[in-house]
Amino acid sequence: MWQKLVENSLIGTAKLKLQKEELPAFLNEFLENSVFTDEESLFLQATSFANLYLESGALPPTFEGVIDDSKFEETKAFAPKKFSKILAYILDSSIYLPKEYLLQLWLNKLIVKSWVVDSSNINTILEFGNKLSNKSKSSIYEAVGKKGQWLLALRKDLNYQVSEDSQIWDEGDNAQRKVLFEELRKSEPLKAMEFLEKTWKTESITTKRAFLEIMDSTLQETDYSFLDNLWKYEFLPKANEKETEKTCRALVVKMLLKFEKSEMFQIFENGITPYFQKKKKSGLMGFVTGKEEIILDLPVEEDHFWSKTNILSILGINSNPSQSAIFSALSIYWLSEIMSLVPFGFWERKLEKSTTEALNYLLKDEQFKVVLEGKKYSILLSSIIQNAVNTKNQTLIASLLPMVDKDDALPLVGAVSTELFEQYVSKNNLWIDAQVFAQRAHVEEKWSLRFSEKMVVKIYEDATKNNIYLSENITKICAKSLHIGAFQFLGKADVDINNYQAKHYQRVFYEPLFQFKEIMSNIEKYA
Amino acid sequence: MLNIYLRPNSETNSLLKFTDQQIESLVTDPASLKAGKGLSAKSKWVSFAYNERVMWGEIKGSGAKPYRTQIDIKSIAFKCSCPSFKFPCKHSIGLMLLNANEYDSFENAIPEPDWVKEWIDKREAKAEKATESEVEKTEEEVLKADKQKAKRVNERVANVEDAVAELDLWLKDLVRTGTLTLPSKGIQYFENLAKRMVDNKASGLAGWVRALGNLDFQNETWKTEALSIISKVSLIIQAFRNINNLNPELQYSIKSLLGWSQSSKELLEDTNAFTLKDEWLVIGQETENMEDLIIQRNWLWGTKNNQSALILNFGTKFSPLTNSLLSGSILEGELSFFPAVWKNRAVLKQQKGFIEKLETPPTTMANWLEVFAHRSKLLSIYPWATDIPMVLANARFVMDGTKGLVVDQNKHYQLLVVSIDYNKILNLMAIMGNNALTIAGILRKDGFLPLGVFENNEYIIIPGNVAKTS
Repeated sequence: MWQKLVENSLIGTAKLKLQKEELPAFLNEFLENSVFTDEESLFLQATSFANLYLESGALPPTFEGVIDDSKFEETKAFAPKKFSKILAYILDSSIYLPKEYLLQLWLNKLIVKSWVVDSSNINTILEFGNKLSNKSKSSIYEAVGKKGQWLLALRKDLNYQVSEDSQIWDEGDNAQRKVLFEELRKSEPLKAMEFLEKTWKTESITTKRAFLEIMDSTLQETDYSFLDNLWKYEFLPKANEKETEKTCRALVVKMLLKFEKSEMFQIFENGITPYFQKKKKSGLMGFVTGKEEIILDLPVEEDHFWSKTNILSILGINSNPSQSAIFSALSIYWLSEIMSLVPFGFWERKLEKSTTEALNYLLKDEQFKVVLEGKKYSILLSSIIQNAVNTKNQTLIASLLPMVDKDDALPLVGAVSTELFEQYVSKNNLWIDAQVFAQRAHVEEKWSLRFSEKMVVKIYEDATKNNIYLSENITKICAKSLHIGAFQFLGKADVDINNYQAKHYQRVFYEPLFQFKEIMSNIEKYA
Repeated sequence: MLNIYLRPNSETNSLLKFTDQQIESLVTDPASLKAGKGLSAKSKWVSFAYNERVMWGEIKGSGAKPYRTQIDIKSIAFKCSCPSFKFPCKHSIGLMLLNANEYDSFENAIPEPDWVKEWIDKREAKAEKATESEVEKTEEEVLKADKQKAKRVNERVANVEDAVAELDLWLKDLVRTGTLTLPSKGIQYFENLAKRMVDNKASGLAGWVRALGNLDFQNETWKTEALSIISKVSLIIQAFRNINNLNPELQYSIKSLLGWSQSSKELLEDTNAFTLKDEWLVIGQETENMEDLIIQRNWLWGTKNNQSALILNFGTKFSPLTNSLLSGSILEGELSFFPAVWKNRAVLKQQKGFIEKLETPPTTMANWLEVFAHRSKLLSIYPWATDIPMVLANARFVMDGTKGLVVDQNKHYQLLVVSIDYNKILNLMAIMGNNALTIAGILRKDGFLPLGVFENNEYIIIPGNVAKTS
């Protein structure tokens, strides 16, 4: 009936008169009693009546699909309202604060207390977490409880890796597997190696290379036997060796060189030992005392050990130095490569020197120096710095730091212990140096109260009185690492005076850190 | 004056306590909300306190003197000495959030400082004046006033009759030539006709005309929607022509449809008006931005009498809405209903106080069939009934492809209204999860607008905008 009326209305009664015979009897009866006689009035009466009739008699449609009526048996309680409110403060906190760090603290507390995120915050936290690390995502997934997990399954716009690790390893694509492997190398190294060993034989050579590269950047003591096996049985030099296979062997060898107990290392040690020779000390000391010292006497030309073939097959090191002008002989180039890998203790032992003495020798001996544009440079310096950074050898770093300028020291600052870092900053008065503090961005640490207090006071003085520009990046690092007791020394700048630096300090340092302190103390209230 | 006081909502502490969701419902601008959150820490405020009628605080701003912020908590209104033109400004939002977060820190201060007292006294005096009965008049003055009133009514009747006649002619013309001509007419065509309706004091008819012009002509459904609107307008015209033969309540209803209703002031003065005392739960709010007008609809549910009510607030670009109701709050008070066959639109006559929690769960409709039967009953007495407030038990949210549905225990369902904000759907999902719960909302012609959910005797407002622009 209604459809007929709609069609009639579209065409208009001038062209198509109301088709009364198409209407139900009750409607016709109604129209027969109508006071109207013109076609349009009758049509309007008919539609008014029909519309009311249809609306009044309408029934709700029936859902034909399957309803998932499983109940969520949430075993955990919703977080208390006051605690939940802290989340809003974190998400709305200053852009100069490490929000993910704060969120993780909040999530950790929530999980420890066996609470789940309350309903009104589920979408907010899921959306915020979508761009965070997998570690945060994993905590959020646990924190939102069963209702949140149900919602997440429906929200295709959010990318949460909620599968089991083993499922990702077995069924994920290479990118997902690499991410998982890298994360597990940091969090659960044994599990990472268990996964890798399980599928190693079936992996393609390019995938193997990718995993070896991750291993190289996250090398651990427990990797030794796996690598040793690869070196002995899989990546032996052979005819028609593919480039990727050569790269893999080089990676394995580089890693094994870091293990003094390895067979590979023994071969290396046997090969290089003859080049450590005793020599009478140079200069007046040698002349007067007649004492001898051990030096590393490298050949200028290739010989049985220092040869392209040998170095490549044993050590996997290629012989194409990118900056050939620096190296007076290939042996020095190879040494610089080896120097970045082999634990520094080896050189100390072989040279029979302390760390500082060995460094003095390797950095200052004339055979290891090059003159560029009239200035002398230590050829081995960058390799030794790399070694120190990779091995986090604190004795080596402590000895190196005073010997290098600030630019060369930057990578070391990222690897140094908290204690050494504090000493370095204090000694060199680097309290407001953004470059130096940027090296600590990924270090989880808490500075001592004394250092933290001094830091807060110095930054206040430099920024508000000495007119030094304060980088906002320092705020994030300070928020994470300052001793909680130092917040009481946080100075408030007098922003009424017309001083840009003071206002800047207030905006990017004081106010965010004050907010951070409040959030922290609110979280900590829930013991 | 309105006899208003706020009842303590717990034995240990005092007065009104804002909730985050209520505050969010009062703020239409996300940037202000964010700025307000930044000012909601106790440490930001030099002083803050409140009592049964007003909340106030002083906060350090960029000037030498702190800003002074005041909130009328009986009939929500804001005042701040800051230069912002926004209502509420970030300081008012900050103060409300501070109240929500640090409720126990608020001092119940009587009397208020002079600067607060001056403002709140003025507001109360104004409210008193607005509801005061007119001064006694002489017989002559009464006769004169009645005459003038009768003259005004006659003029209005003549105007409305002109509007009805024009629209009737227009409708017939449209029916004769066919509605296929509608998509090509352009929005201005409908707007011009609507303006003529407004000029003839029939703003209600203007709304129907605009609804025709606002149809989505890209969507095939416009054909049936257009005829539905035409049939309803035609029914209004027929009813108006027969108005003298209808009962008084239906007469009021028809006049109201034409845009000719009693003022709130007249209603409050009307001793014969239907009033109802109850504990009224504000189940939700919707703000519609029309060209020059902002209409805020507040839906209330009488938890004891099961009576629904609609309270409208109006604002313009230059005179913002006065948000006198807070979504999710339960106010103990009396409403006056505009005379109508479907008693729905009301004004707040007397507010005794706020109640923190429902004592018992509300009486609900068991399923969609019951809701539809209720609607049929309403349509039989008032064929234009729409936006029907309802509380449905055992409702479950189901995502069917890209469509959100609310399904009852018999698997009957209603789609969510098309205009619903996506965030509101997400929040609905987060609150309901997979559970069958009692849900409150509005039944519209194009579906269901969810407003809140009852869980453990607590009413949870579904956050998210329901603002629509016409």
